[in-house]
Amino acid sequence: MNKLIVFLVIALAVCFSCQQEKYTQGKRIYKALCSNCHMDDGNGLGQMYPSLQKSVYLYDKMDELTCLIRTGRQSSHLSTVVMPGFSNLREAEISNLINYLSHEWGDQTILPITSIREQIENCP
Amino acid sequence: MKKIHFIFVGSLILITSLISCYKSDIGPLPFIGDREDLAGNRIEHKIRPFSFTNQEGETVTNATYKNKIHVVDFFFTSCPAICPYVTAQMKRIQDHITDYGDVMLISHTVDPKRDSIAVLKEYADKIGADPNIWHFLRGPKDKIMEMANEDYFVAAHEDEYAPGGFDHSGKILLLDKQAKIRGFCDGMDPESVSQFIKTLDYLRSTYE
Repeated sequence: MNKLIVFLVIALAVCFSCQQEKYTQGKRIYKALCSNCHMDDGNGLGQMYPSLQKSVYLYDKMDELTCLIRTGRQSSHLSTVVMPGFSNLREAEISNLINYLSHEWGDQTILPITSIREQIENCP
Repeated sequence: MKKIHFIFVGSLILITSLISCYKSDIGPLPFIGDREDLAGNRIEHKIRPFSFTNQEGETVTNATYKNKIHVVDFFFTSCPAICPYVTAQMKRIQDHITDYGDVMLISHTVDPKRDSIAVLKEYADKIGADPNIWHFLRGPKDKIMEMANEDYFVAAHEDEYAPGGFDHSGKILLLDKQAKIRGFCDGMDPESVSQFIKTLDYLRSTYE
C-alpha cells in the first residue's frame, strides 16, 4: 500500500513538472520578441497591432506562420509600422514558439520540427 | 430611530476613515525637479511653453492644456521595441479617465521625420485614441529632444544602434494643472501603471 502511494506521488510530481516545462522556451521567446506589440494576453492593440487570440494564422493559415515569423510583415494599416522578421531563430525555437501560441490562443495543434523545416524550405 | 441614526453616523465615520487612509497611502506628491539655488531659494520646475501640432492638424500650446492634469509619454510609430506596450498602457489610462473632463493624454513623437500628421492621425485612430482626450504631438525634433531631456527628464536621443533608430525611456509622466511633474511610472510595468492611475486620481482629488 505504501509503495503504491509513493509511486502515485512520484508519478504526479513527474506529470506536474512535465506540464510546467512544456512551453517554457516558447513562452520566453514570445515575451522577449512578440509581447511588446501583441501584448502579454495576445490581444494586440486596436486595429494597429493584431490580436493573436483566434488568429487565422493559428488555424487555417498555420502553414504560413513559420515564414511570417522569419520574414516579418509590413502593417496593412500604416507604412511606418512593420512586424520585424526573426530570421535568426532556430527551427527548434520557432517550433516551440508556434506550439506555445497554438496552446495559448489556437486550437492546440502541435507543429513538429520537421514541419517547420519543410515550411522554411518553401518560404517565398 | 436612534439605532438607525447611530448606524448612519458610524458608516459615515468608517467611509471617511477609509477615504483618508486611501489618501494617506498615496500623497502628498513631490514636485519633481524642484531645486534650491546657492542662497537656498527654491526654484520651481515646470514644463516650459511650447507650440506643436496634434494628430488633427491643430496647433496646440501649453495654453491648450491649462487647468488640465496631463499624462505624457514619448514614442514613435515605427518603434519596434517598447512603444506599443507603453502605448497600450496609455490606452488603459485613457479608458480610466474617459469621463473625467480635466485630464488629457499627450504622446510626443521623437521621430517627426517619419511621423507626419497623417501618420499620427491614422496611428491614433487605429489604436482607439479619443482625439478629445489624447493628443499625439509633432514638432521640431530638436525641440522635442530638448523637452524630453531637460523638461521631462526622460532620456531620449537618436541612436543608430537602437531599435528603430531612437533610444528613449518608456516612462509615463504625471503633470498637475500648473504643468509641474508630480509623478511617473514605468510604462513597461502594468503594476507600476496601476499605482500611477491611483496617484492620478489622488492628484485630481486635491483640486476638489
